[in-house]
Amino acid sequence: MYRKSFLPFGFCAQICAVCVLFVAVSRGKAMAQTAQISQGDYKLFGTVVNAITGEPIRRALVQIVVTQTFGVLSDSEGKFEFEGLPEGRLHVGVRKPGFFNESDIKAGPVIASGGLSFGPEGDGTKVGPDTPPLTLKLIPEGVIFGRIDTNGEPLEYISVKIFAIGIHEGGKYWEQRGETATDADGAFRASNLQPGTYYVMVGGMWNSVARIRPSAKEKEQGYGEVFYNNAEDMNGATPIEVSPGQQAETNFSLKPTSMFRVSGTINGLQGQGADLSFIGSSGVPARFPTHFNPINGQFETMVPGGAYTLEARGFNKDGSVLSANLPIRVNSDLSGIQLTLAPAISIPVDVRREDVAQARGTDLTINYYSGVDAAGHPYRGNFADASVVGLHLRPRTMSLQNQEITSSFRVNPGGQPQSQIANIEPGRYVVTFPLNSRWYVQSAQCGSVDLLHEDLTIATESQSPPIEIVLRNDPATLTGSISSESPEADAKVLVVPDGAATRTQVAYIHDGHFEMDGLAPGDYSVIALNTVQGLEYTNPEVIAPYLAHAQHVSLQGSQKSDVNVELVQVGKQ
Amino acid sequence: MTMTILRMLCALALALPLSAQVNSPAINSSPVNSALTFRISGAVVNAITGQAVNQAEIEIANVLMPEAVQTMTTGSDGRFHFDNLVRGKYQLTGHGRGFSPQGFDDHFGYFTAIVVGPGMESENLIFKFRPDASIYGVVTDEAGETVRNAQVMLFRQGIETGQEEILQVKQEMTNDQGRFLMGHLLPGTYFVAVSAQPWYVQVPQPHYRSVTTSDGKTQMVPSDDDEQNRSPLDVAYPITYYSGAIDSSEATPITLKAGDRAEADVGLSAVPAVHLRIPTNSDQEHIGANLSQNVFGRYSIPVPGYTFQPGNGELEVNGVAPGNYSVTMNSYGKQQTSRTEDVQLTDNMKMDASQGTPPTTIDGIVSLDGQPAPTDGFVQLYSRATHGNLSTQISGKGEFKIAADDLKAGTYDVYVFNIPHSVVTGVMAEGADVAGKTITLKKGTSVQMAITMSASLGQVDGVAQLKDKPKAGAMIVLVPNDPDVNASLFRRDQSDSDGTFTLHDVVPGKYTVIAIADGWDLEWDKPSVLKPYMNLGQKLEVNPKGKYQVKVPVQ
Repeated sequence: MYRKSFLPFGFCAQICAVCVLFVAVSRGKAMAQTAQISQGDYKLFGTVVNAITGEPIRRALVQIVVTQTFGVLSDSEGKFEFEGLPEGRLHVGVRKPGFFNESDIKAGPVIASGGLSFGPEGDGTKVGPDTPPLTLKLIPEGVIFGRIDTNGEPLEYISVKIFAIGIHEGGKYWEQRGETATDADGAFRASNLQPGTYYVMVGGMWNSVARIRPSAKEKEQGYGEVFYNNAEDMNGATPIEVSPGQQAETNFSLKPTSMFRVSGTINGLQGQGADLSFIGSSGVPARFPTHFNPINGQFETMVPGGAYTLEARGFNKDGSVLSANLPIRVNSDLSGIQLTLAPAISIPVDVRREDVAQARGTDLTINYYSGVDAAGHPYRGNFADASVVGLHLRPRTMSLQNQEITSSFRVNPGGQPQSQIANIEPGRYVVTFPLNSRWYVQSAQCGSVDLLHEDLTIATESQSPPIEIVLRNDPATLTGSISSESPEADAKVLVVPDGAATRTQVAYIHDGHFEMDGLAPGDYSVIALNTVQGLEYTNPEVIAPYLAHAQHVSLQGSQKSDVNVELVQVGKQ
Repeated sequence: MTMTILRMLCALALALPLSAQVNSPAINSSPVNSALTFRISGAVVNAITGQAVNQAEIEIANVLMPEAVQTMTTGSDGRFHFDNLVRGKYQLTGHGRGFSPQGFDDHFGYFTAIVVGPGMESENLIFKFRPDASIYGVVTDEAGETVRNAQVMLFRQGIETGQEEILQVKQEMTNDQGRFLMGHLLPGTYFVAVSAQPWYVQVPQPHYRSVTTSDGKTQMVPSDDDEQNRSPLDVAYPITYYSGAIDSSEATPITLKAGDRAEADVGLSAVPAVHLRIPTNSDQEHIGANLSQNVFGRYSIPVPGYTFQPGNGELEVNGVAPGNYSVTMNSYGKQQTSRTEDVQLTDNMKMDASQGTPPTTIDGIVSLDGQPAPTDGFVQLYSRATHGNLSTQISGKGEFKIAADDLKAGTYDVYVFNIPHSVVTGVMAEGADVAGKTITLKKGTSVQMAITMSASLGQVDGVAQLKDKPKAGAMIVLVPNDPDVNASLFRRDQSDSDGTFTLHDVVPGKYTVIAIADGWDLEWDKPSVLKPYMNLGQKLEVNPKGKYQVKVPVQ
C-alpha cells in the first residue's frame, strides 16, 4: 500500500521573501566604539539611550556622513565616538534591530525601520571645537505575540495579520501593518510594531501547498478569519494598545469550520499569469491552498464557508492591469466559476469653468497649487496654464493600499470629455482637488455621486459615468497670523468649511503667517494646531473640541480676508 | 501496487504535508457476499512509550473507493473499530496531536493495507503511532545577541529516494527573538545550517579621487585605497552549522528518535568580509554575479552579498565571508552569457576575465501515445549527482522550452509530472547524449528533445510469501533491466495484510520483482545493493496494458 506525494503546481510554495539583514538585542563584550575618519581634528561623541527607560543601549549602530558613510557600534555603556572630523555640520543616524529611531517614528509606520535614516533633520549636527556630547534615542519596538489552538491542540500555518488605523490627510484608513503565521507549537510573534493601536486577525492558511481533497464527500475542516477577541469584522475587534517595548499577548481558540472546494476558470489570461485572491471581511486577501494552472486558467481551492469577493488580477503584455472580481457566498462546493479578466476601468473627465466678471488674478502669469502629500509634506506645483485641475484619488479599499492616483486635466471649452483617468482598479476612493489660486471647484459629480462630499466607488465590468468638474474663477483668499508663545515646527492651520469638515484644508505656517488661495466662498472656522499628524481632522467629532478656539470667517467670491488665530495644543482640549 | 518516487518539483516539498490521497488500484476481488460483513479493530499506541493514544483520528477507506472515508476518534483507551465492512482491502491511516498523518506500519508513505474477509486477520491491530520529532534553537551572534531573520536550513540524511543522500527538508527564518522551530520531523539524522548577514554590516563604498588628465581636465576615477578606509564593521557570517562548524563536513549530526525534541542553538561569528573583483567587458552594461556555496557536497545554497560596479570596468562583490564558492556571472547584453567558476575566495581577490558561455537551451516536445501531451504536465530534468533540476510546464501543442543560464553539466533523469497514469517511455535528443531515460547535457549547447509518454501501461499484482505464507509489510521493488539509466522505471510498494501488493503504471519492458522483509533501510535503487536479492526475484516482461500475477518470495 502506498500514498502518493502531492505535487504542488501553479502557486508553488509561496516563499516569504524576507531580506536577511537585521538582527537583535542582549549583550556581549564591547566592540569598536571609536571610528577614525582622518579628515580633520574634531570629535563627535555621545551615548545611545533607550528613549523610554533612559538606559544606555549597547551595540547600536551610529552612522555619520562625511563624504561617505562611517559607522560604529556603541560600547557596553552605549558610548560611541568619531575622531578626525572636519569642522561643519553632518548628519547622524542610529539604529538597532528591535528599536525605532526618531526618524522612523516621525515617518510613520509605512517606512520600514533599518534603513539609513538620520535623527535630527534639517541642517544636521554641528561639529567643531566645542561640540557637546550627543544623546541619541532609540524607541523599543512593540510585539504582539500569542498562541492559536483548537480544543487545546496548537494550530500551525495559521495566518496572522496585524491591522491599524492610519490617518492620511485627516482621514481614517484601515491598513495592514504586519503578517506572520503560527509555528508548530501554534505560536506567533508579530514584531517591529511602532507604538499605537492595533487589531489582530487570524485565520486562513499560510501554507499554500496544503492538500486539496478530491471530493467534498470527505470532511475537510479549516479556520475562517476572526478578529481578536472573537469578532467577525474589524468594527467588533478589540483594539490592542502597544506602547514602546511592550509585548502584548493575544491568544485565540478557533472553532473549525467546513471547508468547501471552489473551482473555475480565469479567462482572458495574456500569458502573463494571474493572481487569485479571496477577500473576506477584513478587506485583505486571505490565503488558502490554491491550485492554479497559469496556462489554461483553471483553479481550484479550499475555503471556509462565508462571503468573499473573488478577485483575479493579471497583466497585459504591455504591463497594464487586467482584473476581474466576483462576489461569492460559499456554503457548499462551487464549481464552474468563470472570471473574465478585463482592462481596468477608465473614467472620462470633463472639466468646465464658470467665469464670473470680476475674477481676480487674471493678470498673473504663474499660478501655484499646493497641498499636503501622504507623508505630510507640502508640495507646490506651477501651472502656467490657469485652466488645469489636479485630481487625487486615495483608495479606501484596503487591498489597494498605497495605490494612489494623481492626474491633472485641462479645462475643456468644447464641453465634450476629452481626457480620462486610465487604469483605475475597482474599489472605493476618496477624491480630492489640490487648491489653485485661480479657481475653486464649485462642483464635482460622477453620475449621482457628489465627489466633494462622498467617496467614489468603482465596480468592475461597469461603465463609469464621466466625472464632471465645474470650476469657478472667483476664489477667496485667506491670510492670517498665529499667536503663540513658542512657534512649533509642525504647527499647521486648518481651514474647516462649516458643516463640511470632510473638505478641511491644511495651510503651512511660515514665520507665524499663513496664506491659503483658492477657497470656495462660504463660512469657515480657522484653527491653528501644534501638529495635525495622526489627527483625523476631517471627522467633525474629532475637530469639534478645537472649534472653541477657532476664528470664524465668512468669505465672498474673490474676497481676501485676514484672521489672527491662537495656537492650540492637540489633545489638551 | 506501483509507485514511482516522484522527484519533488520544489526542493522543500518533502517538508510539506503530503496528501494522503491514494489511487484506486484494480485488484481482483471475488463477488462480494453482502450478507457477510467484517470488522477492522484495534488500538492506537504511541510507538515509543506504548501508551494508548487518546483523541487520535483514525480513517479507513476501501482502496476501490478511496474517497468514501470513514473516521472515528479514539478515547483514552486508544481503541478504534469499524464495523459492517464489506470484504475488501482498506487503507488505515490516522493522525493526532503530535502525530503527523501516517499509515499503518508506515515507511515513508508506504503502508500496509488491511484486508477483510473470511479467514483474514483484521482485528486487534496495534496501530503504532510514530510521534513527531522537532528541532528548535536560537541563533546568536558573536556578542551573544540574538539574530533575527537568519535563514535556518534543515537537512536530513535519508534513503527515501533510493540512495543514501542528504536532502534539505525545511527552511525557516528566525523570529524577533532569534528563535526557530522545525516541527513534524520524522526520526532520522539531521543537520542544521544558518545563513545570515550581520545587521550592522558596513559595506565598502566606492571612493573616487580626482586626477588631472593630459589635456588639463579634472576627472574622478575610482580609487584603490581600499584597506585604508575599510570599516571594522565590514564583516560577514560564513554559513554556520550546528554546533559551530563552518564546513558542512564538520557539521554535528542530530539524531532524532520519534517524539524527540532536540535543541540546536547556533552561534554565528563575524569574520572580515572579502572583496571579489571581476573584470567585465565594458560593452556589457548589465552584469550580475551570484554566489552560492556547496553544502554537503550537493546543495548549492545562495549566499547573500552586495555587488556594485565602480565604473572602472569591474564588478565588485562585497559582504561575503572567505571560503569556497561558486560564482556565477551573468551578462545581459546583446548576447546573454553566463559562466560559473568554483573559487576559493580570499581577501581582495580578482577573478580572471574569461568569456562566459551562452545559456543552454532545450527545445522539446512531449507526446502522449502519439498526441501532444496536455499542458498540465511539468517536464523535469533531475540530476542525481547535484540534486539540481530544470523544470518547466508544457505549453500548447505539447512543447516546452528550458533556458538554463547556469547549467551544471552532467546527466539528468527525465521526468514528466502531473499527467496521471502515464509515464515517460522514451527520450530522444539532438545535441545531447541520451541513455535510457537520462540525458547528458553540456554547457552552452542548444538541444532538441523529444519525450514520448504512454498511458498504455502494465500492472503487476502479486503476493509476497515467506515460507509459502503471505507476508505483510515487506518492501516490494520492481527493478528494471539497466537500472542505472532507468531510475524512472522503478516501482515500489509495501505488501498488505494478506501479503498482496500492486505495482501500477509499469512501462512495458523487462523487470525483476523482489520482496525484502526488512528492506526499508536499503538503498533500493543502487544495483549493487539489490544484487544479492535479484536471483530469488521473479522475472517478467510487461506488455502494454498487460496485467500480471506474481508470487514473490520474501528475502
